[in-house]
Amino acid sequence: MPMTEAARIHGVLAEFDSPEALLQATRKAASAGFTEVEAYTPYPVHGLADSLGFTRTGIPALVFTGGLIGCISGYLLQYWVSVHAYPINVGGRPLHSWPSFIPVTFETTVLCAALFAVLGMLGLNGLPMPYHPVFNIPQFERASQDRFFLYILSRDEKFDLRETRRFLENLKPREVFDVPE
Amino acid sequence: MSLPESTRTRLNQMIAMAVTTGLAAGVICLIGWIADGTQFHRSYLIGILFWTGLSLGALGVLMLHYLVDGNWGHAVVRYLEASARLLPPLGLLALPLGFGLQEIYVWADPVRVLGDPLLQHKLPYLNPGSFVLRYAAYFVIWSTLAFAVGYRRGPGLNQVDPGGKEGRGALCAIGLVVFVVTGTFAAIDWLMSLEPHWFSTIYGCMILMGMVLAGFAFVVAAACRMSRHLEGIPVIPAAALNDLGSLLFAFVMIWAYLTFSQFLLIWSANIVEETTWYFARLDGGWQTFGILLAVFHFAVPFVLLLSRELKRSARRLGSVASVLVTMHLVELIWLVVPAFHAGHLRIHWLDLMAPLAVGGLWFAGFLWQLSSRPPTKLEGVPA
Amino acid sequence: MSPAETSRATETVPVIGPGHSMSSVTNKISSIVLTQKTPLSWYIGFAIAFGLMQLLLVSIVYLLVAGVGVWGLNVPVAWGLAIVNFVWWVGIGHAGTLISAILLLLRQQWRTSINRFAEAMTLFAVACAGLFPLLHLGRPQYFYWLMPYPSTMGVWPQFRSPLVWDVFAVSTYATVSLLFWYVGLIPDMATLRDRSRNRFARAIYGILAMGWRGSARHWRRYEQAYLLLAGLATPLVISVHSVVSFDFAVSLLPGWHATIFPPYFVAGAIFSGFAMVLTLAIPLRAVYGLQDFVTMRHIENMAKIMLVSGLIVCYGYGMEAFTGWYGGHDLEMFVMSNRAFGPYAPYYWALIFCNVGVTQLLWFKKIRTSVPILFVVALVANVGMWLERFIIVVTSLHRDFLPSSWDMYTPTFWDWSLYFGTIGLFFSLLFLFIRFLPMISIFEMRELLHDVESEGTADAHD
Repeated sequence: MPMTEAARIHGVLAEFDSPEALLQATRKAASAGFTEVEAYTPYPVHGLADSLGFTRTGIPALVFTGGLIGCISGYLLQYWVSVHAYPINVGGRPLHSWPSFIPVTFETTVLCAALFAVLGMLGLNGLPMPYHPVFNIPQFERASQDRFFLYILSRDEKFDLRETRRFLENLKPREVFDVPE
Repeated sequence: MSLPESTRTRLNQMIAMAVTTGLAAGVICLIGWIADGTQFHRSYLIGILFWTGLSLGALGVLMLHYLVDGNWGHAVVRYLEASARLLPPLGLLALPLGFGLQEIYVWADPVRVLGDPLLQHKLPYLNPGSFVLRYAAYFVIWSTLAFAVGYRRGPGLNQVDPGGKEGRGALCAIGLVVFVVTGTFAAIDWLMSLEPHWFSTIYGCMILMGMVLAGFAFVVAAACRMSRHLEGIPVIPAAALNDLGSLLFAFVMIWAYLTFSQFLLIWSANIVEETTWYFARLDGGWQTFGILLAVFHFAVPFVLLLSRELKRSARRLGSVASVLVTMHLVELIWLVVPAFHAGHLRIHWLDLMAPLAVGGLWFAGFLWQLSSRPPTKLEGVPA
Repeated sequence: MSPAETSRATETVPVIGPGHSMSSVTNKISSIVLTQKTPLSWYIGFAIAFGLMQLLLVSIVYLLVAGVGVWGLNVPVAWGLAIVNFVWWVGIGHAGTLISAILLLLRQQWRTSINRFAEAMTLFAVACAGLFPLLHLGRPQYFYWLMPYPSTMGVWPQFRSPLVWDVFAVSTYATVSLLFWYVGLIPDMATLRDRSRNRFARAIYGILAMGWRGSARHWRRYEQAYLLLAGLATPLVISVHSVVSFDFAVSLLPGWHATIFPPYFVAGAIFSGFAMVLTLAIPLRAVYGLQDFVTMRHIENMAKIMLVSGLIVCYGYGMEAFTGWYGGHDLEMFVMSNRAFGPYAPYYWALIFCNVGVTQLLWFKKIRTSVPILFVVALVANVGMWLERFIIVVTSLHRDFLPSSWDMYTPTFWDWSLYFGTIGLFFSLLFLFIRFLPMISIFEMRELLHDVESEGTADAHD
């Protein structure tokens, strides 16, 4: 395959009717040795990410870290404000009134953990991403409705436009598309 | 349906051991009664309440399971029933308390009541006659519920019956309402009235939640241990363990929420009628109990039960549940003993001997129930 | 074991009507936003709501010009309708996130068709709630003083006050609910982007979808983040109304200072929230023909949750009354009898009728499955919960420790106009939401459909 053509092609996309067909196709692509593979579905299909070899998301650790940061900084903020920055006597309660600090500490913990969960998910997913080559295929709009897509990227070491196309056609998709850069 | 011979023998050995322990501890308690009647009754209250709490909690969870028809319950339903069905004997075991009401409760002493306007105000509720009547009513109601919800007419013991669901759902719904109301007043009668001047509106549900947590934790601990060690008792699948662990986690959170709410509100308001209760319990050594509860009744189980791996291992989930059961005893001692020894830590050996005496007999009953209604695999439950 | 099987084994009434396919579900829900002709009832409803919202604007402007004296507040009743309405709206705002979060954690599939608009309801109710404490400040332009920031005055918030906790609780709740709602919307935004034929709509939905492509890796992270958000939101919901209850219970006032307040307020919030979801869901499903998605099973389940939370509220009333007597405290007993037999007694008995009496109807399956009766019961519950907050706020304050300062509280026109104005705001937002965003989660309905159709194969994935 000449370099120029490979550079223009971002990958090859195959369209399937059902999640089962896509799941099977993904497994075949993995056993055929493809590593740069993506699958697109209109709803989360269980086991699909596993068949792409994607098991650890890193989200739980992020959320835990966020919670810990929120917890510690929330408590320290209250401690510093009440004991050092602005110490006032309220009804004889101690400056360091730890029971009173628990509710706000809880709220900051949840807030930070939630922010880490959402921003972490978006960040790791690389979103927002306004442009992606697969959007060039008109039929791809059904990826958000009722069709299932398998995508092999041209940067895969095993990628060869004609061979990969033939490989995908053998999986009995509805259609196969070349996706330009 | 029946258990293999080896398991049967092992269970019988354990029952014999439990009965022996219970009787031996009971004899020692009797000696304690003769030596120091006051102390005996106060300690015996702990013994009765600890095990009643476990059975009562199991009854609550059992009705909850039948009401929402959750899959989590199938793995432990026999254990819950075995525990709840011990409520009638517990009611009988509690009888000796009747001889010592005056030594436990200030309001039962007519002389003390005479000199105390507040106790006179409460006399219509807090007096020995109505206390005993209510005590009898609680146990009759709970025992009836314990046997009624587990009753099956049509299909065999080990089948999940879709037919009887509707009727039992209604029974359990009403049963839970009755359970919460009677449990609340039992908590007020037996525990809150130890300090009859003090009151807290959240107290009933806080105590009841502690009992539900402990009763469920005991059953989880027992199920985890027995399914691992006894032949013929089916292994609990990891998914079911995970659900049990999650429910335990939820109970721990709710218990901590209720307990902390009471503390925060009383601490913040700082009114003398209310703070006495915490002064008695957070001073002179009792604060170590408070810290123990915060750490091992909440913080440590909370963090451990966050882990999915832990919840899916019968051995480790069982250990966490055992810790929670132990902490329930610590909590109970912390609730009861400072009422008599406010602000200085003093635990009598009878405080531990009495729970052991009642516990030996209770545990024997629990095992006997399990061996006659064994937790073999239920038919019709998806694995 | 798959969730699909769980529900199959235990329930007979379906969570989705028969004869639907992935494209019919997508079509039906997205067409309400994209292609269907907006029904006349929408225009009429929106016009009324928008009209009421103008009343809100007028009330706010007049309040800012003339000051809080235009309300019926006095000393001792310094917390009047503003706080009643705040608590009422925050309470309503609890069902949405709770429905969504708890039911997701419990793997209850029936959540799918009601979670989206319940969450939207939460956001709008919290927006209405947030207005009241801000306007009650007297000088709302200084609201940011409530936040901890290094100001030139060198002053910091007082963290021992539940009013400061409230700022954190409600703002955290609003933020997390918004995140939860928006994260749930992202894949549906992509669907709308791809289905829309209007360039402008395409661009807007496209921006909101942030380039969502439905990649398997993205879905995996998405699902995990969503589940964790649900796990965080559940205790958050409980904490928020607990903190609202602390506003009252941390004080020393009889009738406010009761330890039962946190769980009892939370139950009341869930009760009123589910009542409001039913109040909205029943007409919506009729107007838009969504009976296949919001089935009788949803309606009945919500009625059951109303019953449970209503019973907890009754338990709270009972414990307050019993402890009022048991405590033997003169003032506590006075507050209890003043509620039942004092000047506000009619309100008290109306509240008991609504929350204790009418709620018991929900024990009967006939009532739970009769849509018109249930609609009335839900409306009554909304009224009852408003009365409850009115009784708590007003009866405890108007007879305080000093008989010389006793006074009566009568709301003025501007109290009421602000309240009805927020109802206008709430419904205006709700109508806009129904018109411009999918009110049922499309991708979750597709998933549900797949799970229900192929339970045999679904098993293999778990």
